[in-house]
Amino acid sequence: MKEQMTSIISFLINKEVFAFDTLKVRNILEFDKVTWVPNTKDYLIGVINLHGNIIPIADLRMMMGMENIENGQDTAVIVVSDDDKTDSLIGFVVDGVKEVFDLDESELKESVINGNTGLVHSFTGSIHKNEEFIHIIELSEVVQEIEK
Amino acid sequence: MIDKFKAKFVEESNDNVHDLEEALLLLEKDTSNNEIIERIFRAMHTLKGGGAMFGFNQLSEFTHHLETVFDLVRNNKLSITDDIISLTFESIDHIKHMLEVGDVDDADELANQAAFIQRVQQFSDSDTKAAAPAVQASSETAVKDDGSKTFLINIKPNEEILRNGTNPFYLLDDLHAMGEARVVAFFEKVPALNSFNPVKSYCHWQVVLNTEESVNDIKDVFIFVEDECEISIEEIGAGNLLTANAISESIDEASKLQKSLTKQDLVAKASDSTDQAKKEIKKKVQLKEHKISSIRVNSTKIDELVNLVSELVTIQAQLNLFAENDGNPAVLALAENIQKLSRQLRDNAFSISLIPLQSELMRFQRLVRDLSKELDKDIDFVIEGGDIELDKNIIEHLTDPLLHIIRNAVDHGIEMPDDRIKNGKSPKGTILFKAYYSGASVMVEVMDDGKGIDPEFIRNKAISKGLIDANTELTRKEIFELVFLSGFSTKEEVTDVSGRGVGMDVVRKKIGEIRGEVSLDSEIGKGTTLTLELPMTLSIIDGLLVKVFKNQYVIPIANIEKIFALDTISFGKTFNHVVNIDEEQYPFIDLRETFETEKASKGTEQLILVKYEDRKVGLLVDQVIGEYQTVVKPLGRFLKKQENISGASIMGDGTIALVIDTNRLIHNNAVKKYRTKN
Repeated sequence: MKEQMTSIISFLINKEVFAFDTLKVRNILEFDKVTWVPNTKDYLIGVINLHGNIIPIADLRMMMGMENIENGQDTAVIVVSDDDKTDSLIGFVVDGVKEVFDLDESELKESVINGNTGLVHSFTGSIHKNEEFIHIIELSEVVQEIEK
Repeated sequence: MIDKFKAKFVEESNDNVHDLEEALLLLEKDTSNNEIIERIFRAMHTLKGGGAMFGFNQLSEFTHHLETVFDLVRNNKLSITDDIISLTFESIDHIKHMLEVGDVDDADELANQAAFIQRVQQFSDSDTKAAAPAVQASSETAVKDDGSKTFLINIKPNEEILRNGTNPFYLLDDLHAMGEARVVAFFEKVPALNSFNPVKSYCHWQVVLNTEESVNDIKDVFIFVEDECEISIEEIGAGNLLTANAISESIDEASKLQKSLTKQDLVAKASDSTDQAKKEIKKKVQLKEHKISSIRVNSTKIDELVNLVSELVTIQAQLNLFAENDGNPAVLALAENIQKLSRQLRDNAFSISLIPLQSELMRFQRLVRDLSKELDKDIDFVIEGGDIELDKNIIEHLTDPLLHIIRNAVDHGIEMPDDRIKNGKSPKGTILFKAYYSGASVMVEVMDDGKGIDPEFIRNKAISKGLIDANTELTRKEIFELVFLSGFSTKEEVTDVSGRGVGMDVVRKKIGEIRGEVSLDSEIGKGTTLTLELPMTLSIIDGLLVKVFKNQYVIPIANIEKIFALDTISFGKTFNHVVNIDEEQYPFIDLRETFETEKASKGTEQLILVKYEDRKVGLLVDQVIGEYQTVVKPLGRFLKKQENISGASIMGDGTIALVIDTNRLIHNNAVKKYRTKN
């Protein structure tokens, strides 16, 4: 853990719960139409217009190897920025956003993840809350993967 | 607060340093030019004064020593040598460094600086011995024009002037205070001692005054004595004529012989010197106008302005859309007017962010000078079209690629002087930097008259590197294109100067980032030319809106030659992607194929003929929608790899249209073709 986290935003992917550091999140949007960009990686599903800026959208479900992707009412886009620059804004499509809550660092445990998480393989840690595990995704690793 | 002033000082000093560097380069070519030496001295003086004021004490001290050297030069006590110039160049670098770091107390730095100062002092210490007459001749007689004028003033007080308490000497003092003056006193009326009345004034004077003040200001001196004196003020000429030998001789003569000076006499004497003075007047005048006609604005403010104008253009497009749908003629008229105005505003705002190339070229001139000294080559760096203006963002992006290109030219292009003589060339090589407008683009050519590149050599190299197949037939132009492929570097051994692992592919990539194109041409024994084609601005373009599958795309209109509807074109060998139009064959790229989409529907295809280097290539799209003025927004760092699309544009209704980079698109597809033959 490089930085101190104060709170996290949890979301659903394939019925499992994951989370981002709240400080990295800029917007949460309803999933709407995206403009597809040709000749890009499959999981980069396109770009959107967010307040006059062009933001690329990556489908985090696809990145994590989820099959049978369906968009429903809860499908959302979480816009994050790894380093606070407009240039680095990127939106991730998730099955649904759950909640924002404060993090007690003592609760944080090493992530033990069974099964396939696709291109996302770095986690800051996991916590146990309300009978379920929440895995916090290390954003910088995901961002590097996309840039590759 | 003080930090703000400091920042301002650093900014201004950088200008001064820039000026210093420029003057020094000029001085190197013309070591006896007093004006340039003066300019250097002034720049140093300003640096010294400012440095002390804003807490750059070490800078101030250092510059002081340097200034001492140039003061000696200025006073003809020291002549300009290559050593002085080289040392001054080094000093300039040191000054730049000091401006960056401010005062330091690091021991190494201090020792370094002390050593430097000592080197500088060596010149000023050995001054008088090495007195140089080189600059002397011209400085003596030339009349400096500094905006001042020279007047002949006659003062004839009447005898009773002393009675009302006036002391004529105070008048003379006042005149002296206005500038440089020489007074001739005439005593012929002074009577013999026995008839001398001490309350009467017998003398009269003539004054030759050089001053920047006007005639009226001179008259003001005599305002209280007008009635008691005969005063005449005549202008002799511009500039300080007192420095002219002829004038000062006649003043001496007048004083000795008690003979009055006349205006005609002085004017005639002065005219000898005025020819020289006139030249200087011209320069002076130009300089002054230049200063008034420009103001300094923080570049972030300009960025902001350009951004706002871009937003305005987007909103204006929305308004147009609304007005068209609304159908109200009054609203439509308003929207049209706003469109007209915003276009003008756009052009205006963009012209503000244009800066002349010259500002950037200075450092290249310096680079060529330093590099050629290092490599023992003799190279002239000639600039044509340095006043061509480009968007400052483009110029910023241009530095690295140009650095690489010019380094290449110095290191690999130009031969050693001996080799040049052997090949019947002048031992001095030339690198010509040429910039000019061509349509909506700016062309930049870097030409050297060096040994050139053998196309066969490039071809063989590309074959050995596996970039092309040995049987591939390539035109001359296509061969030179190979240089830009990644994994291609013609120089075997890595030299210190160029070839630091940065190849021409990086140059192309960097130029591509600002939507420019780069190409190379070369002739063995004659030299190599690199041509850059650059857009004038980055963020707004006129484009053609087209539809491919479900997406809208923008193709820059500057690249478009013609548009054809499908039914007028006869498909020839379509399997080979060549189409026959008006008896001519054009290769074409099916965008639906390149973008890996399906065809929207049959029968509505259109072919857009775009320029690509000296060829024309067709792009096949589903539908042409119309002309569109677009603000190009970057796609961000995650989509940089995507080369066919250079940006995106937000349409009036909030949807996004992607901007196609046609040059890159065609280039990529052409490259693919060579490779698939392997």
